[in-house]
Amino acid sequence: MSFVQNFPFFSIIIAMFSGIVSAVISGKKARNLSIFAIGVTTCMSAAVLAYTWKTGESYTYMMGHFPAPWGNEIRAGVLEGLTALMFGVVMLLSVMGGLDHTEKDVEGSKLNLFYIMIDLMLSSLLALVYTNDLFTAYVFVEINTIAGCGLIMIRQWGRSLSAAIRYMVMSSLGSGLFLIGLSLLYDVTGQLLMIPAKEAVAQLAATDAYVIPMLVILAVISVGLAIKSGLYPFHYWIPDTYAYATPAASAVLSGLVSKGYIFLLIKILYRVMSPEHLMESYTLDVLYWFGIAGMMMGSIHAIQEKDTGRMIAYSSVAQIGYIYMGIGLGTQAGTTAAIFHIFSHGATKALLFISAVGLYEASGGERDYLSLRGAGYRNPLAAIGFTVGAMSMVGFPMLSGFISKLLFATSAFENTGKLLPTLIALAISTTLNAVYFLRLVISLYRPEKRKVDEVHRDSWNLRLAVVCFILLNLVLGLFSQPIVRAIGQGLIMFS
Amino acid sequence: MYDSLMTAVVLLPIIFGFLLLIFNNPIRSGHHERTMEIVTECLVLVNSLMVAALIISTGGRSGNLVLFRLYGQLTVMFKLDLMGSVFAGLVSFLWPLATLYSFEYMKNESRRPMFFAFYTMTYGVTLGVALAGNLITMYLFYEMLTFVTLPLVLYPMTREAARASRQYLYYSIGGAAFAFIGLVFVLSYSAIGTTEFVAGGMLNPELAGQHKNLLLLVYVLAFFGFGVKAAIFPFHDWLPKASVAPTPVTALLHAVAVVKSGAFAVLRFTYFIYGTSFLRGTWAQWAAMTAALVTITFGSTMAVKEIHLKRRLAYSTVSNLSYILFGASIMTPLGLIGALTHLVAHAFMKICAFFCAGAIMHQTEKTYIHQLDGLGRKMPVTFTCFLMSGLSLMGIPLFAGFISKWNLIQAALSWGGDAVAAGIPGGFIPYVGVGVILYSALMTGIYMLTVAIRAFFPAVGAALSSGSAVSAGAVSSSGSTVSAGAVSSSGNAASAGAAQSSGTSVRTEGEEREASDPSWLMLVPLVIFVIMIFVIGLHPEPLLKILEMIGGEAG
Repeated sequence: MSFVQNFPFFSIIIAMFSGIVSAVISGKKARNLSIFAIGVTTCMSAAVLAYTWKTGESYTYMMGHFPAPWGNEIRAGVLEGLTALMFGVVMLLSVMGGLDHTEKDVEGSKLNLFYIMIDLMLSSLLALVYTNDLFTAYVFVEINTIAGCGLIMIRQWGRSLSAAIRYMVMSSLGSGLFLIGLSLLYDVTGQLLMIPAKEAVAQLAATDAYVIPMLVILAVISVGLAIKSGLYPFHYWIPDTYAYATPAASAVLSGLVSKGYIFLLIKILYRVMSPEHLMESYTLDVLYWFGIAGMMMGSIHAIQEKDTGRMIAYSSVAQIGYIYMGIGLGTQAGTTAAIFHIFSHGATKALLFISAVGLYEASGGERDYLSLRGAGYRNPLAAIGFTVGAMSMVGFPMLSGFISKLLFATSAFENTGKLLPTLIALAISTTLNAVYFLRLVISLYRPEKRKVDEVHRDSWNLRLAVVCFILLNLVLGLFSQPIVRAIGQGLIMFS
Repeated sequence: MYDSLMTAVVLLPIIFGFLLLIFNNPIRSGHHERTMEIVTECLVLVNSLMVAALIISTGGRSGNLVLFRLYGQLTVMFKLDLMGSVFAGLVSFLWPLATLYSFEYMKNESRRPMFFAFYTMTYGVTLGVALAGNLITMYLFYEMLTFVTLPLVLYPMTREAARASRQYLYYSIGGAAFAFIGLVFVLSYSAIGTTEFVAGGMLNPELAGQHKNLLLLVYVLAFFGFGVKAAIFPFHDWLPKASVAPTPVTALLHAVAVVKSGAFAVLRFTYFIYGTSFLRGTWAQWAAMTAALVTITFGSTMAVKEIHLKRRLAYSTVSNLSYILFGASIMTPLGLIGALTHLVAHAFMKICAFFCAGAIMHQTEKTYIHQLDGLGRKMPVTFTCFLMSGLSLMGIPLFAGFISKWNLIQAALSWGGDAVAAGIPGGFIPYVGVGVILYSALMTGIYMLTVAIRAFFPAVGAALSSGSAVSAGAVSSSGSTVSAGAVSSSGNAASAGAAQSSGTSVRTEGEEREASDPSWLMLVPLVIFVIMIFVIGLHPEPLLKILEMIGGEAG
């Protein structure tokens, strides 16, 4: 056994322990520790990725060498390594970009709490990515929920408190449904580890037993995770949550948290459920159509929104819709597209949130559409970042959004029944994206009547984060081929 | 050799534009604007010469030059072919002249480095469209064109400009989004696995035959998608609105570069991707043709109705662009020839007309047609040029417009005859097209010549009581400032309904300055364009020979 194989476990534990240690140290130290932990785990994820890419297969890592029915398992392949790497990078940049705001928004004595939440969030995300055990997944889903709540709430402001409560309620509902699904599955199959569960499920499918319970399980788990990831029509918690949290939290929540659940859902659909059940239950079709509905409605809501933060948040609803549409296509290409979009949206949305912060700063803290007028001259770099993000969202070639769009469109060809709806939905949604994002971009570059005061300069870390995100977007847009190939490879060794 | 040349002509203006943007502030603060102008003009000229060298040295046909790989089979690739050469040559002929013109036009504006930065970048991007060797490259530059020209539409920074630029953006991105569907389909049904342009089409005939109706639907979607930039009805509205932009932009971009990139894309998509044999005689052809004919009728009718000079010309562009699309939708070699002839001829005619309108605005601040009475005698060269371009747009023999309309009508009749003989349903539509072209010629006569007639022969009785009294007074050379002031104020009162009251003082100033022909920077391009109109009208053979070669290959 290679030493690298320990890294998935190490990275979860490092993140978790740095959270625990942060409880007793000062805010500044907690911040440094947190950034250090994210950096280390990101490097470890990269190592895992390189290792699995080299060996060409995924491996199962038994915790404490207890074999299947009793022990707890981690499983790492190319896809897991890649996802963990992307999550780490986005997280690092988001935390860096929002650094000053975090210090401003969060009370000094509670600063270490914020970083505890960040650490826990990282650890739970990594666990969701790596775990091969359904119950462990549930545990980390709950940790994730609590960490998410903490991240929203820590900015002690009326709106963020109400947003946190809403998030708590919706998320708990989702986790509850997920838990019910799990216990039913455990009831029916007697397994919680994914691979043995899959065998049991396949046996059931072969004998045509427990058809209805399996259907219920699928439905309950899918709905539970859909609520938690904010699929339309369960999106009501999204706008406030993303818009009123402190910027670093917004970027992490929108870029990563809902993606973690989606990754878990993909994992359950392909690693636990049998293809027969999937097809018969029409789960994928349901997800597909709700995804398309989300693409449209999210954008329409975003068009009506005046507040920039809420607008970007509603755009997330639309993007989540894209991802579910990809999953709903039910082909490997569709899932590949969905996963690529997880990455591309993570990079783009975090960029938008972080650069929007720079624009608010330059506009006296105001964040509505009208106040941001002319902000492009007051804070050029942030405006460029926002423009790049917006262009990526409308699928400008050479940026990551274009590749996502292309992958979704080409993958639709394998599923003839959904070909035209997918393509038309993509076209309409692109146009809608253009309406609200580029409207704001134009407004950014319209000079104001009042005299432009000093050009606003953000702190170096925010500028660095914006530049890195722009580069990340370009990398995803120009050198996507190896990434997509890796995703495809990973999916093959996934189930 | 041609490799580096092809990359250079596209990248040089783009990089130069970026540099101008970066050094925007030093230029303004250091009064280096004159230097900037000279450098810009030299760069544009050099670029045009390089394009010329490229076309001549390769004979209009170059090998493939793969720049980089976007994804999978999607490579960004340049390849010069004859059709691309025609477009690239046209653009590179017009650009230096238009740049020259804009120095004078933009003399008193602020933020000029920014203007010239984007103006020059557009040059490179348009050449990118012309040189694109496959659909994805063209799509890339097509999208880029939207973003590069957006700041130019937004340039006046007024509320109206913001609204116009938003609309332009929504329409263009939306159009590109639907064209994207075409791109994806082409990728899946391609016979060669890539999206490279092949004269005569590159779809896999077997595969395409199985899903013929689906592919035809996609063709129509992409036709309208690319057609948005060519202002096809009902997606034409952005073009008249976009005439709030400074005249050099309206003239070069919204009469040539941008809109013709749209038409060019449609031509590419029809003749080099789908191939005419696949499309001819299908419902998709009739759908495209009908849309083009409706646009011609609509555009020329609206132009007559419009009283704002630049918007009238913009509507005229709407209708004329659909001439090109009509040619494209005939889907025979003759149709392609007709379309390309009009693409070239219309470029000269319309840019000439717009530059005249710009010269009038620049010299007199007048924008409405009823304000132009009698101006022709004070700005003889400008209005003569305008008259020439109007006559040419009508399609009078001797002028370039005649050649292109002749070609289009010929193509329509020959394909209509074939279609009717073969009993294809819808075969009568090309005949309708001929009627529409004649109707549109009549309308063109009305909307172009009324302007010229008003300018040269102001109605005597009406002139004294209407806003044009100023000019009448000036011509009679009573001369004293008192009377000029008095007359102009009465003129304002009379035309207050149409003219903006805020313009009063400016206009008075303009009149005191004595309206006259603009400086040589503006006149030289105008005269050259008129000469070109005559050259094409009287001696079209060289151009037609090239176009026939293209038609022979791609039809």
